[in-house]
Amino acid sequence: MQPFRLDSAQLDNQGIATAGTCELISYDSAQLNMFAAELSYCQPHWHEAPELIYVLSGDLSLTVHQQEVKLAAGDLAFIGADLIHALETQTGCTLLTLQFSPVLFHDTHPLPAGFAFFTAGQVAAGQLTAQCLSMLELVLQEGVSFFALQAQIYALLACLEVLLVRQPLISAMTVGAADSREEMVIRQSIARINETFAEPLTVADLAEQAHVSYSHFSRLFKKVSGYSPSDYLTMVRVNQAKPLLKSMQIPITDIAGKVGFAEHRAMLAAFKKYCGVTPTEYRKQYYADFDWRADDERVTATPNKPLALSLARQIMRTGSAKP
Amino acid sequence: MNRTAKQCLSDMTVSDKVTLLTGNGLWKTAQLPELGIEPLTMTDGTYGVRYSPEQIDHEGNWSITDFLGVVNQSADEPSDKKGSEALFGHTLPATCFPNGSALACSWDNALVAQMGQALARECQALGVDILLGPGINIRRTPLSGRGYEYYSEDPLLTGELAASLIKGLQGEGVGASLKHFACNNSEYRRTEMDSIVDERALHEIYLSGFKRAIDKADPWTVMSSYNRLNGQQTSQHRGLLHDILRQQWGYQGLVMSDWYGVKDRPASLLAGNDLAMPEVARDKAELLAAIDNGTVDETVLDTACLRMLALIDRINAGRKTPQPVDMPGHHQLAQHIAEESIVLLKNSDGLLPLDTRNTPRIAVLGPAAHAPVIQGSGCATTVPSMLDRPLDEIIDVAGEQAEVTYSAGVGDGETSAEEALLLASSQAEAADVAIVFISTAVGEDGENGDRQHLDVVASHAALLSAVAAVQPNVVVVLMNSDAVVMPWLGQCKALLETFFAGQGVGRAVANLLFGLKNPCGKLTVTVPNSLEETPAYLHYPGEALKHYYSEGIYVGYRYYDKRKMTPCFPFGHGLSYTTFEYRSIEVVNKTLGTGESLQVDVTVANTGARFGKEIIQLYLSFPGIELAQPPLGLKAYAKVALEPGETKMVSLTIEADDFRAWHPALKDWIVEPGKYGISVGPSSRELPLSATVQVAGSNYRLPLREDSSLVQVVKDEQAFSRVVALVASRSGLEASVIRERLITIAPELFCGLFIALTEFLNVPVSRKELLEALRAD
Repeated sequence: MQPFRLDSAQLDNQGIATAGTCELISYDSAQLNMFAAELSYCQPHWHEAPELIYVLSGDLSLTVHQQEVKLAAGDLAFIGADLIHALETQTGCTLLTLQFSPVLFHDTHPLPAGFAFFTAGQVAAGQLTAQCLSMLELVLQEGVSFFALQAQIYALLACLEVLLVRQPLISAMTVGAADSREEMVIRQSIARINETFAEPLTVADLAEQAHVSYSHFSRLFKKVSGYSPSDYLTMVRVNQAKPLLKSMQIPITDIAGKVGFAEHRAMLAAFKKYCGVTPTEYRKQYYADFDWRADDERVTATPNKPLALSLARQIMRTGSAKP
Repeated sequence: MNRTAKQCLSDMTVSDKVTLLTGNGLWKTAQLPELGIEPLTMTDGTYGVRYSPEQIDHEGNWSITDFLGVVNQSADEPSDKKGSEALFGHTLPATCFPNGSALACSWDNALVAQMGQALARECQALGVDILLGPGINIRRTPLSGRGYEYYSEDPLLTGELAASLIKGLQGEGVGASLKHFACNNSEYRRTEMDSIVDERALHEIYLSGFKRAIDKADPWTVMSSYNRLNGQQTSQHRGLLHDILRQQWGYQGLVMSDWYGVKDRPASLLAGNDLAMPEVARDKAELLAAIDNGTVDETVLDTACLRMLALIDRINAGRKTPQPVDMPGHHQLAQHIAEESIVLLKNSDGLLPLDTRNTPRIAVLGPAAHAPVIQGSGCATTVPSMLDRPLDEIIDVAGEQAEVTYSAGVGDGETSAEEALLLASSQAEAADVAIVFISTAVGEDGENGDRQHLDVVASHAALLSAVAAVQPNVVVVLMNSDAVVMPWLGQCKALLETFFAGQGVGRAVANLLFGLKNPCGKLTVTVPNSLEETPAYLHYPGEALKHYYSEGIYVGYRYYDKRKMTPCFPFGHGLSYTTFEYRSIEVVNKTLGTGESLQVDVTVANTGARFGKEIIQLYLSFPGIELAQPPLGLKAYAKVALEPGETKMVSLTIEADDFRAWHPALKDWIVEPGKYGISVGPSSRELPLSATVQVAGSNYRLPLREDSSLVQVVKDEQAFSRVVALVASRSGLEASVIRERLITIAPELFCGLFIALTEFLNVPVSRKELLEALRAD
């Protein structure tokens, strides 16, 4: 599983490795991951770190804990720890993402939980955006002190804490209660897919392993993750194929096999469906983008295209990527 | 510059002038702000814009540490930068268009001009004023390391294509640098080697393309080469740079040196090499000293400065505001040029185009299918803006109907050669058709080094053999710098020759394989059967630093035709998926006066079922009485597009100058009078249409000497009349009788005229009197 995650300071493959059920996120000393990226979709996943998303451009639909909301430029969303979330966009979008290290929190003062979103123009969105921009300004300063960063992180969390109390879409309480056996079954299936996508895996196999009927499994999977199991399986394979396509080393026919497609034609069909382009075209889009191509190691590790934080700041300041 | 060049010159000190005529850093010319002179920026290369930000923007220099960094790069690092290329720095991505050897196969002047325009737009976006191309040396031997940059073994085709590229570039305001002037036709020890070229070959073959390009497109600069020509360094060769280029041809532009190609700066300026590139402090100091001690006259300096100032004016007048470049559009152009340039050499049983309904299982084999060889290695090597991989494009074009498999078929670190071959042949056996990509060794061609042989990579040939053993339907796609030998030709039914077709080669190949496009390129060199039969073989690469061009004017097909040898594929050859019929020829002028051009109308029909393009070639046969001649010389061509069933009449023109031949005794061009043959067809060895024309010829008088034969003297009416008068005055006979008797006896007199007259005919004439009679007017 490769949800987008990239910080400009550091990237090690462990940072995005899948360990069982969810994305592992690693942190620098700052205890905050902040990155911007362009993306078209992100398969269902969850992680321990709470996450705040700011939509820089485009619009998308975000599915969190079985609820779907539409977000547009200027909107924000907060996703608490361990909530399954996925996103999808028809037009493409760019996001600024902040992930908070669990180290920031304390037994007596836990991390904010639940899910909420904030629509552009509202007072709440304005306050959060201002906090995010301050954070960004700080991160982009040279030689900024650790304590200054830490102070700004807590200022942002304080603001979030207040706003979350006012407008939770999924409260922290609800999340706990819904963490049922059924959801556990699906989380296990997702984990299985994430681990064994390269093998000839079918929905029937997954249902059998989960000890539920095929139809019940399919319904449940859709309910929990927002996707049908076959869609999810294909998305994982497509997502796995993308970084390989960006690498110049592997022939395209080998890539299909490496990520579990029975043959190249299946990969072709999946790419057309989920990306609107063929694998060949996807590979060339990457190659033709000089900014993107410039730093091979960083970009081949993720299916998404990273965006410079300075550009994100510009968009936040002016609403446009053009100077 | 607002002031006139003359005013500017009068304000300059000698030191300013020397500065103006020397480079400024690696890629710029002088900056003299107090005189209003801003630097010009130049960059390589011939088929893509190589812009090095470190070297141009940050005024970096070649540095030994960079060089060592590359030398020490481990082999498994993904880098194809090797050898001298590493010295030229990292460059920004740019469109890598088909290299000269591929581009030329389009035979399409308009398309080449379009490429020139695209190159100019990429130059302008980067602030580049002069692109260092096109390189047009004649491809005398396929071993030449830079053959991939050059166009052809034929000077007319070379000159026409070069003119088109220059027009495209300069029309957009970017200067061209026509190079490498002259006779740098192989890379072996190129900076030391002396090319020994006879006068006829020099003018008719090696210089003729340059002259044509200069006449038709007036390149703003010409670049002298690294080698010596007939004993002199070309950058210091006054006979070449002044007598021929300036006086005979009337070239007004600027001559610059190749990078570090000047060995003696004062001598190079005296010879007419105006600008020395790049900046070398010693060059400046030596030139200043030479002016100081009077070796170089300041008027020589002034002439070169005026040319430089004129160039600056030209560039300032044409300079445009940088616009963002439509890189996807340029990529499409690169694909299109590749499609127009790739040559279908063989297509037995109509195997191509492929139809996925008949051959749904396709085995693609060979490493170049995934990593295509799109260009050569050297100062022209471009970082491509985009790359079409043949395998990827085949998959996209074949679509979901096709089942495509791939393996490299050659060993690598993980797979042994045997395992790789085993997998490849099992894939080939399971398929309906196998497409095998084979190439020449990467990095072997390049600067200051030639190829060692004409073979493709041995493991690729082994792959083809293994595939052919199990699969009858084999298509070979060849990626190579210049011609290769093809002992394996019998192992494939179809053969697509791409040369180095640039970043769009993958899509172009896929479109051609599946018939979305119809092949329409033709060879611009002869493909030999063996290295040993090639025209330059015997004296290549020269010895004791002298390289005799011993085949003279018999370069390329001229050699094969003259010796009645059958090459593997002849010059001008290329197949199509449709068929063309050459219907009729009409020579518009039956006789041709001096200085007249000849129009020939040719009618061609598309008799097949597909749209296609045909390259109609016209060759001229000279009378060959006064001067020996090859059987055929290309004199005109046209690329014509025809719908199925369509017929078109095409007018071809042989220009007046193309009837000329260089007479070494006269040191001038002549047009021999007599009957000339005109042949038209689809290749130099398939010429179904022919006609003749009577040409009046030029008035020329060969020098006569005391030992000239009487037969020769009789041919020269003026001299003969004087000889008749002289003999008549001594013999007392009537002049008319003497004339008649001398004509009758002429064939019998085996001695020179002086001895014949004095010893055999007993005519008392002095040597001085005879020479007086024979003297030219």
